[in-house]
Amino acid sequence: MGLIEGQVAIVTGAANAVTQGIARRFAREGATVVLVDADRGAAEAAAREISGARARAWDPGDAVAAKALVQDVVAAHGRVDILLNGQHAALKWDRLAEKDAADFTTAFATVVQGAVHMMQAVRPVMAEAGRGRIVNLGSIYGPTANEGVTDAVTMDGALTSLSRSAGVEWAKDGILVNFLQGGMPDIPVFADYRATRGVSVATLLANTAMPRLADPVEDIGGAAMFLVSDEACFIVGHRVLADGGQHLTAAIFEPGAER
Amino acid sequence: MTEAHGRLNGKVAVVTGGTKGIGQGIVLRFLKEGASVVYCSRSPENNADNAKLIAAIPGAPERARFVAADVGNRQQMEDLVHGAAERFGRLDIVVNNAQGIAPVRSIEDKPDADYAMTLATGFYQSLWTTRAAVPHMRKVGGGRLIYFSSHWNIWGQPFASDYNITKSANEALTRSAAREFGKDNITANCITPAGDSWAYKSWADQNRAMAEASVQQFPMRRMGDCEVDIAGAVLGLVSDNGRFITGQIFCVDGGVWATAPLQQHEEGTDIHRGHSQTATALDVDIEGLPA
Repeated sequence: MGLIEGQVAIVTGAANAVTQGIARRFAREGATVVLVDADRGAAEAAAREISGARARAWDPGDAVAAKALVQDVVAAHGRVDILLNGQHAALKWDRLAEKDAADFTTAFATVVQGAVHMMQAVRPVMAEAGRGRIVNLGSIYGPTANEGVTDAVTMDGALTSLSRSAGVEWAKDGILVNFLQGGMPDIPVFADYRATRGVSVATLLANTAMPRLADPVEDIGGAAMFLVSDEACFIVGHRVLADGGQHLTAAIFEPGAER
Repeated sequence: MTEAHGRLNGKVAVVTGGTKGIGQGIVLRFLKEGASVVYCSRSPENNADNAKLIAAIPGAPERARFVAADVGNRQQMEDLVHGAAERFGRLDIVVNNAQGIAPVRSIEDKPDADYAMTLATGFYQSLWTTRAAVPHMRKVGGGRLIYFSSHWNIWGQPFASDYNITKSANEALTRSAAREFGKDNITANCITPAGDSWAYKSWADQNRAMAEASVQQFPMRRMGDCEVDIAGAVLGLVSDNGRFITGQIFCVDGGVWATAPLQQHEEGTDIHRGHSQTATALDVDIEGLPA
């Protein structure tokens, strides 16, 4: 028996390899996973790789579609136990002085509004069941205030507050909202970065408590399982880092520069 | 009710305290998940309740071992850790749950001996077990260190400065241990619990109205169950799910960390009704502190 046997999980931002790793962990522990992304093809491709997974397209800006999506999942599977909000805005590496202020608007609409839309959509279902788990997914850029990605860092702060507030408001209904930040992940996109900025990555790892990149399934997926299983049944509005201690280390990623 | 999944099959754990409240919850939960558990308390009489509960868990009695030991005594803490590794052939997990508590008293009036006792039974205990455990953990390719902090420390609860300082020391040790032993695949995390522990029950029995009001400050509207809620989080952090989580402080508290303080105490009350400890038989070997 898996830790979340028979449960149903909606996982958004499914084009992202970290999110896919978490979804894979959920499936391995017995859940039916519904993979959601604005890019239908990406969601479907991810679903083909995960046993029993379904794919759905959804625009994070669409609150009405979020409700319809949740209703469809309930109609098909009878329940929604877990929501993992994993949508992220594309990272554009430039410093705040030069950054297009509109990037913040785009990031907010995708990351924060998207999370709010999906949380509001699942809330009635979870409240009626008297239990539910919501995990908002941030990144290591937030706690380390990495330069060049102020928009992503700001969204991380917004998700921290959103998770805490929603945690406080919804806990009495049995819905636990928490915030998960993964460390620098061992994924193909990052391998490219590593190839061009090997010194930066080596420096980061040499200074990190657990000197390796985060495995999306075993490391970040493990922490996600902690939050959605019976283990974190009394943890509310909290931040959990699946980063091997990277948050205790200086951020060393510089846009456009090798160090 | 808890559901067992064999999450700690084959693992060996040391839990300080462990005969009542949160420590008891952790011991029972670990045993149900398949671990071998060595736990301590100062007196064998304290173990009577545990022995009965453990006997009711299939396969648990041969995996459980009680040791009479004082967490304020370095030799006894080292013996506890080494003894566990010897008895069960390995060591994977140490949970530093126990803590001696002095009567609540203002900083102006609190004797130095209270600070020495609280640090010895909390911080030094954690330090001694860590030093003893790490070599055993390296041998098996990794391990898990769990320390304890408190909401009192977060909020600077009046009249418990000795306790709060000790919990701050435990939080600092958590981060330092995480940084120093991460390369050995050893994680270190700290728990800030709100559970219906023996200490809480003792206070709540004397302050019914305040206890009921304080529970309404919890987003989850209830106090945590030691075995289900508090031990659940500890289990997650020491199991495979927690393998990349390190150097963090976890409020396992139904969300009360985000809202308001838990409880207030009148200065001078003995909240543990005679169970508070005095500063005797300490093994704190630093200049200026009473030995």
